[in-house]
Amino acid sequence: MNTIGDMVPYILPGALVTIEISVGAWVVSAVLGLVLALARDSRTPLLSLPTVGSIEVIRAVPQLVVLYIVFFGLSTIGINVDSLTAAIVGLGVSDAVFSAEYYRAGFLTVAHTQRDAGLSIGLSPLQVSRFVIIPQTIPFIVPPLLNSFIGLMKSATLAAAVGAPELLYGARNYMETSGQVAPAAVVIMGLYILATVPLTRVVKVLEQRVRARTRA
Amino acid sequence: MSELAGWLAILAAGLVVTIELAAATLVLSVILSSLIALMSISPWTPLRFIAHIYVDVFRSIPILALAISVYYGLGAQLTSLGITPFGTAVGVLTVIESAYLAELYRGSLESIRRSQWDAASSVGLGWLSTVRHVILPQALPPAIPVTLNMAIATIKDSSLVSLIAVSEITLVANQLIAETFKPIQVYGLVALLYLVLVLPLSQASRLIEIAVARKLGIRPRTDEERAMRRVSAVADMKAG
Repeated sequence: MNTIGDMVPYILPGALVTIEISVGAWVVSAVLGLVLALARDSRTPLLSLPTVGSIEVIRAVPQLVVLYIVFFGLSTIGINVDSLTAAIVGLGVSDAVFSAEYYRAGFLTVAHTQRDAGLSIGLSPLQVSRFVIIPQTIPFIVPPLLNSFIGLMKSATLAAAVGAPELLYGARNYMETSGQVAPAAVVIMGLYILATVPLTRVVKVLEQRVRARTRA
Repeated sequence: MSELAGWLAILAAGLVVTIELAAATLVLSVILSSLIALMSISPWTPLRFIAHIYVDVFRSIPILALAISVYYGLGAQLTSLGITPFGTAVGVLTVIESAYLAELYRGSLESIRRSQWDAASSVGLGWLSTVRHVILPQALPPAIPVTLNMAIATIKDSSLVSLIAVSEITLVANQLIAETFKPIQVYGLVALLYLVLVLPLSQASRLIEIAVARKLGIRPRTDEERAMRRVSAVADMKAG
């Protein structure tokens, strides 16, 4: 019982930082993903080609390397970022290239005729996306984006590598100061299971609903 | 220029370790996850239960959390057993990637129509023979692109074991940066090497997926179905 009490000051602040990182990175991923998706589908090659290229590259590079580039790389060109910001940006950017694909798949679900109809009543291509296409894709992209959030909660552990005091960082500190590894390991993995399993269930139910709708 | 060649030589050694890590993990994961996927579609409740628990638990645990716990907690014991950090890394990666791959394989197995099972049982085949002679031959082709996507995820995830002292490319890069103080250039090169490794795999996966779909006559009927398939193919690549 005492062990648990000793562990709280290491685990609790860490859990809060983990939530901060995963929510922050998720917002970055969702917003940047939409921008990338629109840029990639743009009819201007000047916009779409570089986007295709960067999506392919970032998708092939491990999150940890993207995180290191943001954290160590930016400081050498004079931009100093703290570990928390680096984690939010690094993990967010790395995830955004996947979100972009989800949005693009979502756009596919809306019939071409709707874009034509929007254009024919005088809306600009961006307005068509904003008012016609995107609202209809929301139910379709919510489940994959929620899956991304679950993934980012787990990826938040990578922030420990650049010294952001998240859950795993706290647990590792506890392991080192107390010399007791097993209790901290059980607690951190238990917390992850408790957080992830119910969320995964929710996403599965949502996915089935979308699937049922598309069959109809 | 000679500096670049020197870096490339150093990073190439790390890249070889990355490839070895990913290859060993993938081979073991394919075996373990096939077993779990078969358990999860078996008619025996305890086996199905074990398979579901395995998938739920190990898809929830971050790779790094398991790696660091094992490394800190069992490091001394593993060393005395003669297990190197490389071996530990392969073990940790296999345990987790298998949970993801098992779920994907279960998808391939469940895509086979119920009527195939009924037909097999009506000609007197048992569960094992049905799986062996009827289900597996049909489930294997769609499992190939899935496995290739998993190979990509494994290559990327293997960078995490740089944090438990395995000298794969990410760790080697960090050591190189500690000497040169040129993170952007070195990581840029690392990113390029990962790309060279991953791009052929993702292209192959895409082509095989199209070929398999054509051969099986699976054609997405609606835009929604096509979109849904794209989402899952992309998601497979990030797994762990």
